[in-house]
Amino acid sequence: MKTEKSWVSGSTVMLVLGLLREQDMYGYQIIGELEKRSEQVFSMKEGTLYPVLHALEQEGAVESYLADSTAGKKRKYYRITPEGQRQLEGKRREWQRFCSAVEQVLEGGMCCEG
Amino acid sequence: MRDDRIGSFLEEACGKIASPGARAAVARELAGHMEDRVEQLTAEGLDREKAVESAVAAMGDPRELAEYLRRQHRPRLDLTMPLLTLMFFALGAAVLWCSPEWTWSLAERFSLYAVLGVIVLFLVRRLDYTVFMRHPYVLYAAACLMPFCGWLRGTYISGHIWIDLGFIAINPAWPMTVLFLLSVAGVCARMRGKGLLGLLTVGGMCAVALCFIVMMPEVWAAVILWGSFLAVLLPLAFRGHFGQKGLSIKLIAAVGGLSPLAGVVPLMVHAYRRGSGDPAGGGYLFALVRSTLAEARPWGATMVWPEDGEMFPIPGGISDNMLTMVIGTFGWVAGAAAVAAVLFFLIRMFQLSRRIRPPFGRVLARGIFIMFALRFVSGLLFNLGVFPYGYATPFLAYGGTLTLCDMALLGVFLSVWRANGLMAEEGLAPTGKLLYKVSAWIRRMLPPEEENDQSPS
Repeated sequence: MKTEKSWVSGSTVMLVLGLLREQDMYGYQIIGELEKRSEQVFSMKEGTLYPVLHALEQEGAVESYLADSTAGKKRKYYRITPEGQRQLEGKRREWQRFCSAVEQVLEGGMCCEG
Repeated sequence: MRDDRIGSFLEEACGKIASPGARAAVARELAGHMEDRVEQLTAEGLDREKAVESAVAAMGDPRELAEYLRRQHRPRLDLTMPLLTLMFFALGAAVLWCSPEWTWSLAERFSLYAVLGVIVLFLVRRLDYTVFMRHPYVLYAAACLMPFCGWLRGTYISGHIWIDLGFIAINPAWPMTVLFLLSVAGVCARMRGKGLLGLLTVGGMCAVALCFIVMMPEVWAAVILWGSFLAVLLPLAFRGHFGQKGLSIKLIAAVGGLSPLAGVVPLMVHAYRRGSGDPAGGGYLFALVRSTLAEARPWGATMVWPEDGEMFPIPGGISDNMLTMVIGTFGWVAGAAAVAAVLFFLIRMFQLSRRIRPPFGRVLARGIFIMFALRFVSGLLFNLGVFPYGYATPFLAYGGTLTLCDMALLGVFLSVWRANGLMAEEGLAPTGKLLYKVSAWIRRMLPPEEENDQSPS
């Protein structure tokens, strides 16, 4: 089943920050994790991740450093900053409000609790 | 080995990024991504050719990506501060024109420094500031050599060493101060995670630098440099930049950083006593400043060409006292407006420095801001007749070495600000546009099977 493109692009920042909250990652790893955890729902054009990451870096939400990966290659890792944590919390709250509003309209019920 | 299709994709996707350094860094990151994808697909059993094709296709439309990346990595421009400096030059010209000591030679000297200052600003702004992080020891060594040039070849005039370069004379103390600040900030960046040894290395370099400046002898310059060192070093030590966050390293940084107080306070007290107690000697300018300010009115000129035997007003060519001259020539209101303009300049610099993200750029910007802020304090105290010695309020001078150094420092600051919108610092290594084009041309010329490395940089 195909997912509405705008839903994926609208939530990319939140998803990326959510992944980086768990551990530092490089771009390819982020794409892989997004696909794996969402069971291919969040399958985006891979190149478009990088403008998102660079924008987050310029906003101070993430910072980057070069390090050797387990495979011995030099990679650019991204790490979430306290500012990024704040952004993530804000976006999560926003998402929960949106989700419950949509659910209430469609079914009169609640979703996305917690 | 990188496939030609990956190279072509990178050229198209990254080709619109304005800075060659940022372009190369983004290309490296995207190339790494695609190589990972190719490796994964070949490990899953796909042949390399198809794996490359699939990896390139998965990246999306390169033209669309190029547009995203172009918007993302635009150099940032700030016009407020350069325009303010031009306004300060215009004010200097107006004061000089109205000065009773106006001569064409003074005007020529002033114009020369104004032109040189603008050139220095323009050139330094275009510089990749990470050069200070990559070669800090060269800068530091150059700064350490300068006093010897001064002592061997310079002449003492009004307590400062001057080296005559023919068309201008420079006081090496200020170029040294600038170089010491830039190099120490660079060494700090390189000492990341090096622990106590890293902190002690930087601390030792700061101590040697301050000793050199004091021996020039430029006590105020040493105080200003010391303040800038503290602004660079202490936040780094307290935030665990050196790899340790314990109380001991913070204590060592704080005690070591504040220890120059023991030398600075007696030196400043001595300077004050010597200047204020000797109006005919070292305190000559101090006495003139005070007499000029005592006569000044809210509006209009109060400085008059003196009769024989009366005290001369501040000589028009004394660069450091331009603010006093503004007050004496146009009145207190004009002086207050000039001070407000400098204050506005500093506030703008502070605002921008808070928005700088790359770690080394942030450290550098903070050090430069503190250096200008302390210069502002020194300039006000001196020009308002509170302290007998000091330097020009930033940019309120008729040229001189200090003006050139101000413009160079502003250039470094604007270079940091410009790059703030480009890329993380590791991506700012100098990759010339020419080199980029030549390497791209060579890649196109070589048949694909002979290519071993297609790095876009």
